Amino acid sequence: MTKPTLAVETLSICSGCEIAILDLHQALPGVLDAIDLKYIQVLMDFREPPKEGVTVGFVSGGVRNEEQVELLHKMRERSTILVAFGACSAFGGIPGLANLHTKDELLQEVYIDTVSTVNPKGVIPHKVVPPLLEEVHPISDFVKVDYVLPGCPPPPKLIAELVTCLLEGKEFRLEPKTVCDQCPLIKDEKSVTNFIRWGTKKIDPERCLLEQGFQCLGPVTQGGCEARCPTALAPCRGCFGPTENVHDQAAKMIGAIGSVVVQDPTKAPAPEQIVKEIPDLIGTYLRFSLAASTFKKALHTNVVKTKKGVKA
Amino acid sequence: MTNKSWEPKIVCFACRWCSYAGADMAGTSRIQYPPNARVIRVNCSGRVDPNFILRALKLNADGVLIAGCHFGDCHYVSGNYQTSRRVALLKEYLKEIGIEPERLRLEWISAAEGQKFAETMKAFVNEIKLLGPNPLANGGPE
Repeated sequence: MTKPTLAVETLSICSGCEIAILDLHQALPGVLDAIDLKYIQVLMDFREPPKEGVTVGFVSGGVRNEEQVELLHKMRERSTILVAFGACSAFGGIPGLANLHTKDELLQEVYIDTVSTVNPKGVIPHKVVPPLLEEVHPISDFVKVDYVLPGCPPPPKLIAELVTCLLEGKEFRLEPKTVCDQCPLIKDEKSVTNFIRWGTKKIDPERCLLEQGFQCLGPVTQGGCEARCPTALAPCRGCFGPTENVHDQAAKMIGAIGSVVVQDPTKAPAPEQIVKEIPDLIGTYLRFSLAASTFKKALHTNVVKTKKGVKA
Repeated sequence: MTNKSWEPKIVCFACRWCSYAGADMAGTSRIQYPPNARVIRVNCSGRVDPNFILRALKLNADGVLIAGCHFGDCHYVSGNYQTSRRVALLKEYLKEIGIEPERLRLEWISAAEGQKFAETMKAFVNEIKLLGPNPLANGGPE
């Protein structure tokens, strides 16, 4: 019997997810015995996925340009099972934050306005390179996705579990639990009086980070990572995306912030104070999932733009 | 985009203990106010998940009004305090995403304040009329 084949397509991404596959370490030879790794750009010199016979296709990275749409459709046609691999392909990831700006604003900033750019004629590349789409998309905007393995990058343990499940013909599903469910830190009383940025205060290594006032996205983020960040006393950044019941991580997190503050109204900070203490709301709460959130992007309305201009 | 036949669509989440009764009071006292709101009764203004508000705006509501008990009057002690924090943060969210934060409004209306309910509704409808339709309506901004 021929071995099942695996192809990994790289779209708009940093390649960290591919490195995570190599991070399987001792499990890697076992995986390579069982499957035939046909295509992975960080290891092999191919430009396109194999023409046919891909059993499992991993797609890492969101969709930013027209070439990537084409590659994604090719992957879908050629693979039996398609996996959205990593936060970018599942929710747009960090590149998805570009959706706060229009395509023209981004090109202007990168090719003309940046201080280090030397571009006297003000040329924006438009030949040879594939045209950008208006916004970043998760791959599920274009094709049917069979499995989702989120994470930035996905933990090697889950990659091995996914591959094993697929080889044995079992369903792979992350348990509908949040990061908090797996977090070992002690959750006690909701008594936050002010929110602080990480690194500005000594951390109590035993207590819940959110209750200490750090912006930890544990309550609104899909578990499965075994709470690797909070365990290391770094607040969860939400790379596993929303859980099944959370449609928009930011909305749910705003809900959580409302209730972790100390209940006694004489001690609680004013709402305006809380707003000030969270300087980059969307960049913090939708760091990985803006492109898959309720609005998916900033709406570039004239009304708001002029208002912003006046306020600034 | 604004045409003469356009009327703002407003989703109003009213707390069962105070504001919904306040709306009833407006009705039984026969106070006139614009019929633009779809009033949804919730047990507490603190029960209004920020996702409900975003979803209402996503589905082309032109404004969302949350009405709860005055501070200190909450049937569940602190639900309205929680709402006040959430609404402040949500306004910031909406501002960053490009929706006028004025489309979201929080008011404290007690069961005896039928008059205030009617006046709030009038003022909010007028404000939304000035802002125009939800930027997401008609397939989003041009």
